[in-house]
Amino acid sequence: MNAPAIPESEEEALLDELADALQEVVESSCAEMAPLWLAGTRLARRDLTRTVPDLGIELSEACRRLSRGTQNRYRALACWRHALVWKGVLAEVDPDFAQATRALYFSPYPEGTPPYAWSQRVSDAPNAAEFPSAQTLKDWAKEGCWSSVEALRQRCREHPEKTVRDEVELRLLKVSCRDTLSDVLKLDAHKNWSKL
Amino acid sequence: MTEETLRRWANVELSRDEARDVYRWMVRCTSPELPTLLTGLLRERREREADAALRQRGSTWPELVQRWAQLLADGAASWTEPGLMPMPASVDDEAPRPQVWLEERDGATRVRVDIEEDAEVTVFVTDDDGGAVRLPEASGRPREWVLPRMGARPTVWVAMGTASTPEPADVLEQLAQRTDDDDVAVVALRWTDRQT
Repeated sequence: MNAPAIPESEEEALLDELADALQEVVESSCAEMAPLWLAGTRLARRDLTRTVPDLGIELSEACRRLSRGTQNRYRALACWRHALVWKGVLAEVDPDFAQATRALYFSPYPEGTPPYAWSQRVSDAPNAAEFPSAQTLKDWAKEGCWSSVEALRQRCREHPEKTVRDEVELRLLKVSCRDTLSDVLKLDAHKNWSKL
Repeated sequence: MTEETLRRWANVELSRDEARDVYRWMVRCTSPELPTLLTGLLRERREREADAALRQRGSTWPELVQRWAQLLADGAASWTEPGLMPMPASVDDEAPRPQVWLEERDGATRVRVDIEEDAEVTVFVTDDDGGAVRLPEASGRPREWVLPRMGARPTVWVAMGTASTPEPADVLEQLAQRTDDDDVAVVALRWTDRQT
């Protein structure tokens, strides 16, 4: 799938958008977001590959030690984060919920902690003191996550598919929504509750 | 883009423009091995940075090692002899007890922990010279760590239920605040020249 599929000018613009969003996600959470997003979007990005060679390297022992299950679990989270930054989705979410979501999912993690650090230890999040309680922060962040995924899904439904770039964008957005609620944000119960 | 460039990105701070080039290249590369490589490189960097941070706080280590020793005196941790050993019953009365042991293999001393794969385990090594090192996270079953060179009378500390705590002091704090319901336990191992 290395044949050029997108007009070069459009590809450059899309590359810039995706690269900038990826850099912002890394800087606002942790460096591990980059490989996780890459793994989660590999197939969706296949039409962007213009002769980028494989590295042909032997993986280090540190790489082989990594838990594949843990990586899978975090991939969807990285894709969701990237889509939020890429499309500026949090700007459409209720300000309180968006602030809570930023606190838990877009605050840099301390060294040596996994990508899920703040949602696992809500009271330790850098901006936790700005909320009435840790539980409130957690609840509002869930609302923010839910709203953001709904917004992403809406964009998928309304997204045009006129050009190759549109198709690539849509694939990336769909990847960013898929499995996020149930597998990563664990919002199944919340989702059902919200529909009552 | 070469592996060397990627390693440089993972190991040093690049300028913003240089970093953007790397992110752009990442977006276009769909090699399935790249995310795993990146994860490994970033993890190695974090481990090096964590080790460097530990060394910089060397003056606080004698006190820290004393506090570890106090854990033993208080009964919050228990000594074991080298070899296969049961964990304290406080971990979980119902579940199979984790097993912890040291062994010499391929010229290195290793600590191995046989425990459920989703259990949180943190391993530190201290010595009587005031040195202390937190070993990187490991996965698989059993989990295995190669022990670094240490000063006089090194001691291995295996703490369960503490993986989210990045520093030895945090583990101590967590232990100090634990309740009977907590799933936190610490065991200390000391290896000697007699061990084979």
